Amino acid sequence: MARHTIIRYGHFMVDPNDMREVIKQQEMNDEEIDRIVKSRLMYLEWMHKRFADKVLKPPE
Amino acid sequence: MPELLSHKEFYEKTLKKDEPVPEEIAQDCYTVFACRHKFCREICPVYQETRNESHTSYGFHSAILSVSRGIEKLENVKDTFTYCLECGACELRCPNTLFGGDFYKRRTTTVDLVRKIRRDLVSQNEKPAGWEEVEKKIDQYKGYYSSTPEEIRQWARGIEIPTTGDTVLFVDYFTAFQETVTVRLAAQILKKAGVRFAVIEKPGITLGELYENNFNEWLKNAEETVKALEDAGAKKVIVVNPHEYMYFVREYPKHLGTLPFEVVFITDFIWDLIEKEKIRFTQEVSISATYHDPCTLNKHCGIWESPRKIIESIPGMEYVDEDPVSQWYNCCGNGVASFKELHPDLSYRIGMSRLRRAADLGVQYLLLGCPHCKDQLSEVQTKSRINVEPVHLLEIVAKAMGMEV
Repeated sequence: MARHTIIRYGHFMVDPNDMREVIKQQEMNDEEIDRIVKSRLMYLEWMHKRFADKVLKPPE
Repeated sequence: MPELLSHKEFYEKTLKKDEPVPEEIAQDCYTVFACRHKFCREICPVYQETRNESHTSYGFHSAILSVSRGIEKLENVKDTFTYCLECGACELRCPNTLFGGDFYKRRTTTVDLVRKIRRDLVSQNEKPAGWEEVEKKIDQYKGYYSSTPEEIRQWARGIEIPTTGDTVLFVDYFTAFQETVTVRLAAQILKKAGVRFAVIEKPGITLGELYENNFNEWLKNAEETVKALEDAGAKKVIVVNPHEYMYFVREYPKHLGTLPFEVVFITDFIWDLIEKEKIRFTQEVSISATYHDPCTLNKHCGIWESPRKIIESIPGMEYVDEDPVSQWYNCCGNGVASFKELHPDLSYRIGMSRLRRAADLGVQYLLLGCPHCKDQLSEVQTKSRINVEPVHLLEIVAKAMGMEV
């Protein structure tokens, strides 16, 4: 996990300052980011439908 | 209009066979090589047939990494890069994209890498085996391009369509000269719905094979296409071929900036017309069918809802849905660009697997949203005689509207 995160449009994102060396951030617009988030949510739902007997809640 | 930008500038510099691989590319490849999940294997329609790990996203990135570390030479791994359909499944399923792409603002871009390596190899006369078939196809399309406007417009014989207007139906050379039924149906459906639209006289060559054979030539043609649409007065461009739609929303903005018109895929446009009651289904279509998501729509652009909404609104149809995530594993076998010319037998096997999956659902028809899938799966069905008939969704829409098909 990155040391610093920011919240952008309701989603966590690494602080861009942490990705200027070795592995740099690429050009990616908001629509592409939304597509990835939407695909992830679809995939998690798909996984739960097929493979999860129950979903555990995080500890209180 | 969605404009899906994902761009790694360091892919633009040609990878020379006698020069060291830039460290930025090596590090980029390492992010995939370092993965031990290898979700890119089973999801890959090519790997499902060959069971060869070299033919996966992991294999492609590892190959370039091995070149960068002096273990292998670029010219020795050139054929490896022919084993990619460019369907986009691996790069979407890769945890670097699906679980970290938005967080790190960096994702796996296997399709861009494959296109780049093919281009770089060709530019240094290190053509992969079978590349002459790709060049033949490019020449064929140059022949189409040299045709007169009347010859290019043959697909629309008997249908009056102007060459300027706010709304333009984009017709590429594949749908104008080869799979002509789909675009003709699209024009007839739009006419019946009362949509006023135009078709440009002469687009540039928008062929995927050209994109990975000669980037500058492809770019020049892309500029010509966009200019022709702009000159025709286009405010909205309706696209019937999902390969073209992908280039409009993913590739053209990357190289040409934001386009001066809106681009909409035909199923989104038709669903909008259905919602506004400009299209009404008056006939029952009593068939059992499932739907095949085109890779360029589903995996590359995230369009899967409008085709399903249209299908589910057709009266009389017994529809068996296979969800869009399950279909990340599917491809018709044609691929987005050069795959079929380079590996016709493998393309056929992938197509057979797709038809068998549909047949296993016990349906009569496999509905398609892409003219390339129609061309490919019709050929596979004729040869294999697998008992499920591929048919384009627009044919069913036209029947439900009471049109003669």
